[in-house]
Amino acid sequence: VVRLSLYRDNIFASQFVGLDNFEYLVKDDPNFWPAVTHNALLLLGLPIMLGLALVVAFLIHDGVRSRKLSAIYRSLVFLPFVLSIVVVGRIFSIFLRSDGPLNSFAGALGWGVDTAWLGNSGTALGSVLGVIVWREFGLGVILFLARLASAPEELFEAARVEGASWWQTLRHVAIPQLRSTIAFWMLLNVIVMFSWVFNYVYVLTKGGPGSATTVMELEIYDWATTRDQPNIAAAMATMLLLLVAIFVVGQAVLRKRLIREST
Amino acid sequence: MSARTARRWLPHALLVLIALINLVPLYYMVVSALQRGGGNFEAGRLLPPVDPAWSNFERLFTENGFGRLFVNSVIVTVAAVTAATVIAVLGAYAFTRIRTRAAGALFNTTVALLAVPPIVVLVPLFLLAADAGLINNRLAPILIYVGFIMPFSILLLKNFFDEIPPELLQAARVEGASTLQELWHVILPLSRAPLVALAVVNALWVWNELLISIVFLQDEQQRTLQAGIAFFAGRNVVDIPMTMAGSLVATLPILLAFILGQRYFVRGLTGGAIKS
Repeated sequence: VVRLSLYRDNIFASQFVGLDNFEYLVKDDPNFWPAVTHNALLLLGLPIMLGLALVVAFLIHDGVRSRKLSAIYRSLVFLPFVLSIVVVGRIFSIFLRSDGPLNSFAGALGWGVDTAWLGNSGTALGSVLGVIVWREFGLGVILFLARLASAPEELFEAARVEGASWWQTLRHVAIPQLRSTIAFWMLLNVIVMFSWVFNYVYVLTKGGPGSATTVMELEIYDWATTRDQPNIAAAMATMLLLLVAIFVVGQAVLRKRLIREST
Repeated sequence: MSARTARRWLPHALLVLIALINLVPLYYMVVSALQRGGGNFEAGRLLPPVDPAWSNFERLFTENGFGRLFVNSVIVTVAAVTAATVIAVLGAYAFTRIRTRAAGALFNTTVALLAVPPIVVLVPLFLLAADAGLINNRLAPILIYVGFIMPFSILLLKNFFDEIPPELLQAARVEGASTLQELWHVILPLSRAPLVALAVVNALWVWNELLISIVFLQDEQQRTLQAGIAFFAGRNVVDIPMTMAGSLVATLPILLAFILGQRYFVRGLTGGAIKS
């Protein structure tokens, strides 16, 4: 812990080396705003990921009676999460090529496409997001299932007796039970989308084509290494840290307020 | 088909679909690893090749130094996870025992550090490591990994330690056990499951980490598996089967760990997360 706090000191020290660095980034760096925008766009994928994870978790909880089968589904859903991002990146960078299996499969279905999903600036960011969702959503499913398993079974029983539809049960029984888990997982993913996407972007596109998929982390990395400007990198890193801090604090404040209102 | 049968089978149909979507890329990795490299690679091929190139795996170790990469990854992972587990046990236990305000604040700070992105601390860390002459020394990434997995480890273990009934400790104390004896003889035997879970989760993270590894171990002799694959793929764009074979080799140990430690693994991941 002491060592970690030391890292922080270092960042704060570089912060007052010069505000010029910040000004340069915001005003003159052509990649700064695209990077920020891409991080923000990746956030838009979160509702999709949340919806998917909720539905799958509830499908397993509600629809699978056999314990064994449920365990098998759980591990298969979770499987991508144990793969390294490098490996995932290698697989998908070929899987999504113009002559890759995705397109040949689509072609077999009579859906002739030859898009290079990651090489086309229109589809690259969406494809990166798709890969992130593919790998990360299993964690949500597991978290939700664990929470649902500790929820009182009578609630679901009552819904069944009253003839609630699958959707109604999910909406009015399961989701309220999951509220705090959802909040936790979403916060985690906000952090992922801002500060843990480097690996994905680095192995899938390196920010390209052009700057179509660059993100703040990648810019920090480029400033620190290729462009050899650690001060600018540190300035950007500080901004990223502030952004994440705002989200974390904002979420905490929001949660406190919610708790106060509900009591 | 009646609505009832539909309701019974639909979940299974959808879940099988999801499972397939999760399995196909993995399957594709295996199939591609067995194709021949160079210009012969067919990216669109999903069927196993007629004459699988098992020699890819051999060449991985003989020509491409995957043995060394593998060993490097094992060293870094084992060292970081062992050190982190020992420190986290001591730290978490201290947080369980010491209930002062300052300790609480320190604990909250520790947990808040979960949110610090690696890239943010990368530059200062690099400068620190350069000052200490630790670039290209395995110690640098090992120490950094220990730092990064510490918040989660302490959070997870503290949550577990907190639930151990105080009467058990009382009994030990009556018999004159010291604090460390208490930890060793009472707490640890009870904590086997979370410790296994923690070790697996942490090992997974360290084994799979790329960024810190490429920055701090630039020398080819020290490189880890993930970095090796990333570099290899960058250099040998045509030899996709080899990259895939390497990916497969890098994946097998964690797949094995996942299958073996599955019960603990899922429980361990969720135990700490749900309470926070």
